[in-house]
Amino acid sequence: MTTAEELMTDPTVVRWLRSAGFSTETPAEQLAQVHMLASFCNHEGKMPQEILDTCLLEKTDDGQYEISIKGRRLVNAAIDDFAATLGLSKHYEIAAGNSIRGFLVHNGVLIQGKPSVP
Amino acid sequence: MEFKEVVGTRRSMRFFAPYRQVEPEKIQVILEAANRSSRSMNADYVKAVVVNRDDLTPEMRDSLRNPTTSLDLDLAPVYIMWFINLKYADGTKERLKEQIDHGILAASHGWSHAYVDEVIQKTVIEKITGDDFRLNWMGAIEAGQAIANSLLAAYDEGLGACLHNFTDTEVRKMMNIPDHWRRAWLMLVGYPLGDKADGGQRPRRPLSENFFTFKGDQLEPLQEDPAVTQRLRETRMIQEPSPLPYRHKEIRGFARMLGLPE
Repeated sequence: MTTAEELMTDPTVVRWLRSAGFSTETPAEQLAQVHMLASFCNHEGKMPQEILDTCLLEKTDDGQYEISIKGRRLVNAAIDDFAATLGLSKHYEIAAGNSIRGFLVHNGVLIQGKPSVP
Repeated sequence: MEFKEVVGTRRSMRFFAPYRQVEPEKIQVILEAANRSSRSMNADYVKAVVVNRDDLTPEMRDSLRNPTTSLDLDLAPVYIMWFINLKYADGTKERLKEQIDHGILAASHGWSHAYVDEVIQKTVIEKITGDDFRLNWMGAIEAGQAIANSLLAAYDEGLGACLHNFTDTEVRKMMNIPDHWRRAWLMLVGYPLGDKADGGQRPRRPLSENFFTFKGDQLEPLQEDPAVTQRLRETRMIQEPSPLPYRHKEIRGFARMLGLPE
């Protein structure tokens, strides 16, 4: 089990918050962003780096990763499944899932979710 | 919109208003622009299938997705699937003779019915159709011209558009797409979610990096005339560059409205 507070110093989370521009927001706002990721990590029984590792194949000698198509598909589906358990309205369910995708995106995983269309 | 402004305004738009449909007459304009494109042998290099997003079942829409073309399929209300027609050389002789009869191809430039009837088959047509690389190379270039025309027409109609890769395995079966239609691009069309500036004109390198004149015995990078550049700014072929000052806030606003990653 992990908490949003614990994840605030995780390098992958720090990278996400900085890259997305959240690091200039108040600590409470930053924590709110990380809360959903922490819940997902607990749901999956994994830490953030382990979730990234599912999506990225081992780093090669030149310092580059390759996307794991299968891993990314699995994580994408797991995010949708998790978001559906939250009991939110459709818009907020989609936004919750895409918040987690934002963590992946800012750590180098190109992934697209569906939008909440008015 | 004047031509130069259309060229300057076109950009690859990725944020469409998902709730705003595109009028069918605008799609006709886009397709006619493709139909008027430059093409060798007066051949038909492209085929296109227009699909309204909301006419597809969720399964059909999902079948088009790939990692970089997914969200866009949910935002754009119209898809134009462009294919390269690899049978473009069929009917070449008849079309060329028509052009001779119309005074488009003339004896002054060496054209005659005799050349078309007796010489061109072995000399030109079979050289292209018998070589996969040439067949595809020429098909891609000429189809690209049609697609480029259609992009400009979309912007002239006040729309936005973007070309994407797409997965066509399932739709080919569902739509009975012939084998000789080779997948080119999926053009997504819709109204901008924000304004037509869409964050500003995309960065480009100076002309001197890619365009040259031949002087004496060597290539020399093209030198821009500042007066011409200024005229292009005034006529809006050259526009305010990206990122516009509000762009990142605008994207955050789009993301929050649509529940997307920020």
